Amino acid sequence: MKKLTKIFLSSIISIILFSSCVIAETLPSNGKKYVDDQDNILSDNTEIKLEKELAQLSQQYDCDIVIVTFKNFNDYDFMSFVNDYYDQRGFDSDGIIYAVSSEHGYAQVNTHGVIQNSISNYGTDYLIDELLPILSDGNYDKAALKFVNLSDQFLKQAENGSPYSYDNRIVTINQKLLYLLISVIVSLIIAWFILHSMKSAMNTAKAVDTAHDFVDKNNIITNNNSDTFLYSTLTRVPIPKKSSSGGGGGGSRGGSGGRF
Amino acid sequence: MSDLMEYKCPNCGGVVEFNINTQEMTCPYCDSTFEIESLRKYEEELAQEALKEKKTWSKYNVEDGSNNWQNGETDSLASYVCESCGGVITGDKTTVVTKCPYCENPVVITNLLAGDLRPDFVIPFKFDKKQAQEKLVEFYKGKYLLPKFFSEQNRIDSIQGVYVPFWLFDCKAQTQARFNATKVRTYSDGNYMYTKTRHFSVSRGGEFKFTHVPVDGSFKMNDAYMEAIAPYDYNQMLDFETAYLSGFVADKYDVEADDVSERVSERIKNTTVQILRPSEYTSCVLNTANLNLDESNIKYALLPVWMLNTKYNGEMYTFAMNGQTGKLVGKLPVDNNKAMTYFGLICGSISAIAAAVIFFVI
Repeated sequence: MKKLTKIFLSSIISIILFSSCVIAETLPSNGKKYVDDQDNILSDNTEIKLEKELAQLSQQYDCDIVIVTFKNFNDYDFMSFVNDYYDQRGFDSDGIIYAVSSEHGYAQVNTHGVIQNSISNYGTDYLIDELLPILSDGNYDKAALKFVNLSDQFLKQAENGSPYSYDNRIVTINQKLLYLLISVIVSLIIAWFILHSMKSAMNTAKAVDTAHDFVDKNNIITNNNSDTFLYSTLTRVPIPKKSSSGGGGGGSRGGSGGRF
Repeated sequence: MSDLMEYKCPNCGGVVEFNINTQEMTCPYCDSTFEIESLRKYEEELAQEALKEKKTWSKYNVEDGSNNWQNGETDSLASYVCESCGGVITGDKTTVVTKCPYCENPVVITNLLAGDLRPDFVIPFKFDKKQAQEKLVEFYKGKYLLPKFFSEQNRIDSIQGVYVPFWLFDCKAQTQARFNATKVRTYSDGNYMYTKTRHFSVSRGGEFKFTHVPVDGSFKMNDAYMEAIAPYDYNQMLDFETAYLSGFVADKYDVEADDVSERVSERIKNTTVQILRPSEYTSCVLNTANLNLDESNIKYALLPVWMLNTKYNGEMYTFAMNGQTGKLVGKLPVDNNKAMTYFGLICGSISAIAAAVIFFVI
């Protein structure tokens, strides 16, 4: 009996020690939990990896970068729900949160405080646009890792004094290849025009359809001039709006969401 | 009973109707709206301009000119006929003429000069054969697509100074031109970019004096070449003397002045329209132009041209040089390999710069 009690106690102690080790590994020293997989859609390995990276980035950029997955949420709008979650968990007033509800097919990226200056609504729009196709494929791990990667890029960009905006966009490799293709086409057109001009210079025996050399330029009399206004037309084109950060610091919030 | 006045839309030609709501004339086809006063004025001006244009030239007046050969004047001249193109050329008897300056085929001596019109004027040659050859070498410079062999060999199969018959047209021209013009203004209220386009019917008239517009009277001579080597300095034009033909040949006109007058009228009309075109509008498109000619006069002159011919790859290349000013024109062969190399270089360079910007700057 004593032996059994000893084994039981040893097991309990081992479990406690193991749990402490795991908690120590997954929870940062400040005790915040940056990944909350309520919906259980992230793999364990990814969750551990994300927790580690988010803690590191949060410390690096002096804000909280959070990922949460919801099984259920109340029937009010998802953006507010996510904001409430962020506020209630005692995260820093400056931060960014990425939330997913697989059951409802919602994804949301919200920014808080001064992070809105680093990642404007234009930036959160970009993030959501990038993440939704991955989420549609059911690849939640990949989407979460991409969120971390892009957030890091945006915050780094902001730290360097050129936050992501309409005028300061991220150019992907596909976009660069597209630009290259366009520039090759443009260069073909330019080369064709230059070559055409060179070929044209090879033939100078061209008919002259005017007789400017033979008009007495000092003896031109102009008369019977009239300008009759007939009608006018008015067209209007909407000016494309550049996205703005949606407010400065304090308790202000911004964000973008979408369905997958 | 009064006639019902009907106005046509200046924009599309449809019949415009009075719109009760806007109190303006509206075209039911293109939705353009007009003030009735503008339409009335526009119709009046069109009616005035509808007067037919007069593009009739006076006949070449034989009596006015010096075009009757004097007794014995043609004794020193000989005429030749090209067996291939049938062209008749003239030279003095001391000039050895064996080939047609146009088609390079042999010519035979004949006696067709008698009875032909004597030219009114002549401009003597200022450039000799050697200078013409030098001008051709100069002409090759900067022609990057010229085959290396063509320029290096500098072969000229024949070079001949030819007095080309020209009809010189003088006139006073009156042109009334009507343009469809627009003035465009763009502005913004922050949300939209507005473009306001005002459409005008613009009429411009003018009187011009043209002196000695030349058109070659030789059927064999390429008209484009002769238009391209102009102008000549008419201050140096002299009354015709057969002495100027010594050492050269003269082509006999075989195109009547009447046959080329349409081309002269066209060139004069184009010139006057270009001068009258208003510059103060954003866009301006010619609608109609009426040309009226007055005090027209035609003269017959021989003008100096060096004809240079060479063969390359079995094809004849002809160059013509203004014998007075030295202006040389012609069509050169194109080296396709060089053309492709330049094309690749230009395209490659621009693409490389673009790639560097895209991948290292953006």
